[in-house]
Amino acid sequence: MKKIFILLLSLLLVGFTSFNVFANDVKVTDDPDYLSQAEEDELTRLCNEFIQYTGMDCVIYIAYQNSTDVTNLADDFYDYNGYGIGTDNEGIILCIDYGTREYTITTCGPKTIDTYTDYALDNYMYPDIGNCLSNGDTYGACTKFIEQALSVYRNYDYFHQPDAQPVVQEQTLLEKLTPVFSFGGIGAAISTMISYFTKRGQLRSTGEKQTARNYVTDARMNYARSGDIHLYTNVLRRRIERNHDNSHGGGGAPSSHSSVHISSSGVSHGGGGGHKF
Amino acid sequence: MAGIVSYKCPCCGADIPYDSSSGQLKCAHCGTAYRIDELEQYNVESEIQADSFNWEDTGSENVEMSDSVTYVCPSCGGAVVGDRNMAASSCPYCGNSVIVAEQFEGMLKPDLVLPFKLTKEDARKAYAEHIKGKTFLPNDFSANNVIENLKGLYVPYWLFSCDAECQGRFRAKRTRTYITGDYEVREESHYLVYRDARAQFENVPVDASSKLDNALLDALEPYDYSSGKDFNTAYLSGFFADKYDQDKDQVISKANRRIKNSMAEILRSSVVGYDSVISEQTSMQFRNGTNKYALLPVYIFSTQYNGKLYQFAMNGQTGKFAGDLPMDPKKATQHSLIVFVVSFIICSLIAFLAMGGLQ
Repeated sequence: MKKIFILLLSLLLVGFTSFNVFANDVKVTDDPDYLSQAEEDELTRLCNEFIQYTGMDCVIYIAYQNSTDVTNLADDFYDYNGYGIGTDNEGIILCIDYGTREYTITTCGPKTIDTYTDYALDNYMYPDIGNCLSNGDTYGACTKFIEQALSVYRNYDYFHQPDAQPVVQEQTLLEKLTPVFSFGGIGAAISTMISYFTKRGQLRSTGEKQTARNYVTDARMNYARSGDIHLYTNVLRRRIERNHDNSHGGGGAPSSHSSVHISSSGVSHGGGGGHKF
Repeated sequence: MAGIVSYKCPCCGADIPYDSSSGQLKCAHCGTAYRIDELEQYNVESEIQADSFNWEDTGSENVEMSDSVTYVCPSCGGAVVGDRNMAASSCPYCGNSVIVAEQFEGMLKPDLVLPFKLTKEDARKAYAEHIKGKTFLPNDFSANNVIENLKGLYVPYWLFSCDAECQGRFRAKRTRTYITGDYEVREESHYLVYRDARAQFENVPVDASSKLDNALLDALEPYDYSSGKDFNTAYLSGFFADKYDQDKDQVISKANRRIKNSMAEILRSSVVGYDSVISEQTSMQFRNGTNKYALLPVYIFSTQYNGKLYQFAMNGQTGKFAGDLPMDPKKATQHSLIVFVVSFIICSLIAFLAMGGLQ
C-alpha cells in the first residue's frame, strides 16, 4: 500500500512539473505555403542537426496574420506549442509574418538567451535574413537563419567580449612606441623653442618706448559719456547627436548583453523586435 | 677766456668735479668739499682783472672747422675739440673739466638738471652684473672685452606735459553656450561700447640728441624728477654734456605717439566682461601742453667685439642698465640640442607611463 501510494505520488509530481525532455517535432510551420515540401523537409533536417549539436531547439514559423506585434506572435507560438528543450525550454525561433512583412528572432532559456546577444542578432543574423526576404527568397532566409544560428553558437567567445571594449588587434612594438615618441618630440620641440627665445631675449635689453604709462597722473573715466549699447543677439541651436547603447545591437563593438522580455505566457524570452522586409 | 667755465679748488687749485654721492663739488686732490653756492661765491669774490697785453691778434680762440669747434683749456692751454653741440667735456691733456657756458645761455639754458647719484664704479659693477649668467654670450666677450670711453654724460631731453582727453568706440561680443534638452544653444550678443577718459601726463621724456640711440636711452626710463635741480653749470663739472640738436618741434611727434598709445590703453582696459573687443574709432585732444628742456644723467660706454661696436648705458640716477649683447651661434646650437634631448627623454617617459607602458 505504501509502495503504491509513493508510485502514484511520483506520477502526479511528474505530471504537474513542466519537465519537457522532448519538444514538439514539427520544426517548420509554413501557414501560407511559401515553401515546397522538399524545402520544408530540408529545413527540418537542418533544424534537427542544430538541435543535436547545440542542445537547443530550433523552430521556423511562417505566418500570414497581420499581427500587431510579431515578437508576441513568435513568443506565443513557441510557448503554446510545446517547443524548447530541457527544463528551461531552451531554443530559438524565426517568425516571419507576411501579413505585415515583418520578421523577428526570439530565444528562450538562459543558455540560449545568453548565447544569442543583441549584437549577434542585430549585426550578424538579421541583415542577411532581411536581404533574402526582401528578394522574395523565403527558403534562403530560413537556411541563413539556421546557418548563422549555428555560427553564433560556435563563436560564442567572439560575441561575448566584455562590454565597451573594442576588438584590439595586436600592435607591433613600433606602433606602440610611435605615440610615445611623437609626444616626446612635440614636447621637446616646444621646450627647446621656449628655452631658445628666453635665452636670446636675455641678450636684448633695448627698445623704443611706445607708451608713456610711467608718466600718467590722475587718469579717470568720464562715466557720463561712457556706455554699452546692446545691438543684437544671434542664437544658434544644434541637435546633440546621442550615441546609441551597443547592448541593443546598434552596431559598434560586440557586446555580451541580451535584452529580455516577458511573453504573454509569463516566460522570459530574449531577442525580439520587428524588422521590416 | 670767454665762454669757458672751470671750477678750481680754493685750497689746492686742482680741478674740482661734481661728486654725485655727496651732491657737492669735491676736490679729488686734497679732499675738500664745497657746496655749489659756496664755490660760486668764492669765484665771484676772487675775480681780478686780467693782465692786458696788446698783441697782434694772430687768430681766434674759437676756430671753426666744418662742424668742429675748438676751445682752449683754461688749465693747461691745450686744444679741446668738439662738435657744435658740445657743452661739457674734459681736456685730453690734463683731464680738466671744460664747460662751455654759452651753450647754456638764454634760450639754451636747461630748465632742469638731474644730478648724477651713482659713480663710474657703479657703472662698471652694473655692467659686470649685466653680462653675468647669459648662456648665449660668447665666452671671450666677457673674458676679454675692454670697456672703452666710459663717461658720465648729461643727455639733453625735452620733457612734455599735457592734459589729454580721449574718446573711443568699440565693437564687443559676449558668447554664452548652454544645453537644453537635446539641443546645444549658443547665444552671441553684440554691443557698441563707447568710452571717454582723461589723464594728465607729466614730463614725458624724448631725447633731444640725434647722436645717441633712442632705443638705448628709452630703456633707461623712468627717471625720478622729484630730485631735479635748477640748472647750474657746477653740476656738469667732471662730466660730459651736449646741448640739444633736435628742438622740441622735431621730437614732439614721438611724445604725441606715446601719450596717444597710453590713452588708448586706458580706454581699452575699461572695456571688460566681453569675449572679444575690436576698436572702431578713437579721437584724442591735448590741452595745456608744456615742455621743459632738461639734462638727464647717463653713463655711457662701448666695447668692440668681432669688429662690431656694442653700446651700453646706465641711468646715472636709478642705476637701470641697458645694452644689447652679442650671441654665440655655436653655444646657442649646443644648448638647444642639449635641451631638446633632455626634454625628449622626459616627455617620452611621461607619455610612456601615462599610456601604461607597453601594454
